Amino acid sequence: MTHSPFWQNLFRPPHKQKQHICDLWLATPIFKGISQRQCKSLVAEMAVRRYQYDEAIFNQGDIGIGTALIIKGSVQICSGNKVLATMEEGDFFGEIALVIEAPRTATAIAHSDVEMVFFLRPQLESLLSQAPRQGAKIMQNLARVMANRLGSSNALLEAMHADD
Amino acid sequence: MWLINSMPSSMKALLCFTCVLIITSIMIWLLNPVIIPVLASLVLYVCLLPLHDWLTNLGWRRDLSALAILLLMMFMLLVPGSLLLGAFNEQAILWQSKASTAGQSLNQLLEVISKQLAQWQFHMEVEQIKANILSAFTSGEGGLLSSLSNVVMSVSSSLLLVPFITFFLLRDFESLRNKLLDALPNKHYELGWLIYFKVANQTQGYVRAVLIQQSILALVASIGFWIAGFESPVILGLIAGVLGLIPYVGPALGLIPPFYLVLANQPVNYDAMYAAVLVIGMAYLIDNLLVIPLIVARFANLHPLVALLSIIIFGNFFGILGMIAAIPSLAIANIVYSQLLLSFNPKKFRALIA
Repeated sequence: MTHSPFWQNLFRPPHKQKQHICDLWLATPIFKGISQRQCKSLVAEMAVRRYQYDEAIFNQGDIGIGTALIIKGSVQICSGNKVLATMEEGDFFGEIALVIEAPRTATAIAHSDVEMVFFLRPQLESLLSQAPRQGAKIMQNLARVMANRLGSSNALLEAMHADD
Repeated sequence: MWLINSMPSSMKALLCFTCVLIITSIMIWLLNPVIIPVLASLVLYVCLLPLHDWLTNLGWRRDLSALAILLLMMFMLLVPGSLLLGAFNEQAILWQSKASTAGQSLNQLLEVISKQLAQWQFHMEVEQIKANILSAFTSGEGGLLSSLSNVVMSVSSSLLLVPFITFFLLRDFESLRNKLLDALPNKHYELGWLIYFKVANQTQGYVRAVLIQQSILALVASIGFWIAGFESPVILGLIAGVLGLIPYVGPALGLIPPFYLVLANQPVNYDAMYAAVLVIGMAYLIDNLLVIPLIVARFANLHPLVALLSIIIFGNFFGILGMIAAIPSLAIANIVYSQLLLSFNPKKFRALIA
């Protein structure tokens, strides 16, 4: 029972990783240009979640409310039986849910024992109303990330069409 | 577990919703002795949160910001608040002492109405109606005036508790909320946060909107009563504003104090009754035509019949407090159930988004 993620999440010791998490976030393109102080105050509200090997973090079609950052371990992003990507420490995924209330477009499964934190859409919304400049910066970064991913998807589609 | 897994999604959502309902009922039952100060503190918390956020964004520590707000509240509640409550209680006692005069006037009024109705072949039991109305006002613990007085006394006694609960809510609510939501199993973590944020947004918006609405209503009614020449127009306006919290029956209830005042003063000035109807009518007209559509409507989208039934049922179980809480409670229940239904039925969610 002590190994169950439920009990680990409930009775975990006080976390001493906040600075590490803050550094990981600041290294992501989403948090580029965000002040250390602002990042710390956001991280203070994030809880570290633990997942066991092969445990689903979310399933395709689930309601999503935020993006996840991997602190430890690796996560596989799958669509059906196909593995689309493997995410490692410092990677983030599920950023679409930060912008709109949409179903998850893929399934995320823990590929090892994983520790991660979520940055939730309401956190971003409250940042936008409380510190609009910092919030707008994150929104701009998010737009860049999504534009890049859209570009990659288009390039992939073009390559597929060229192969046909 | 296999039984739950084999259930249709609507049944799963209903089961989950019932669990949430049971936990909420237990919490309300446990908080029963302090429910009024806790609810008042939650309302104050919702109103003061933007100020608290503003101060913390300026770089104030959370506890310092909460302390500054606590001191401000103490000043606001203790000085003008106690004066207002004192005046309010004084008026309630004065009105209670005029009950016999009001009874005589009511008797005369009912006899005039009875004679008028008799000409149209309608008959009414004047004594019976008079006895019912007067007993509703004055008799025992259930009397309107004594319960009004009791409410005033209980509000005054819990007045000191409210700022302290609000202080701790401002300082610790977010960390307490985070700890509670972090205890959710991984599978329902995001859903839990989603439901919390939707409910919090809706409730905060509703509470702020209703407070603005009632303040406008109280202000318009006070000005109206002042123009119409009523004694204590501010108190009458405040009563109309507070009773306006009770949807549908609020306007009728708001007419009782001015009618009572008219009947309690000899000779009875019947024109003042028409003036009271006009004042309350105008106040609610402005409320319904301008304030509600602009401020309140977007926060509680319920069918009128459902809203009316919920007010009657909640009022039956929890009294005036239940009538006030009926609409927001039902709106919250609606959000929780719809979100649970969507999360247990991803296909429906995808269709909704598409």
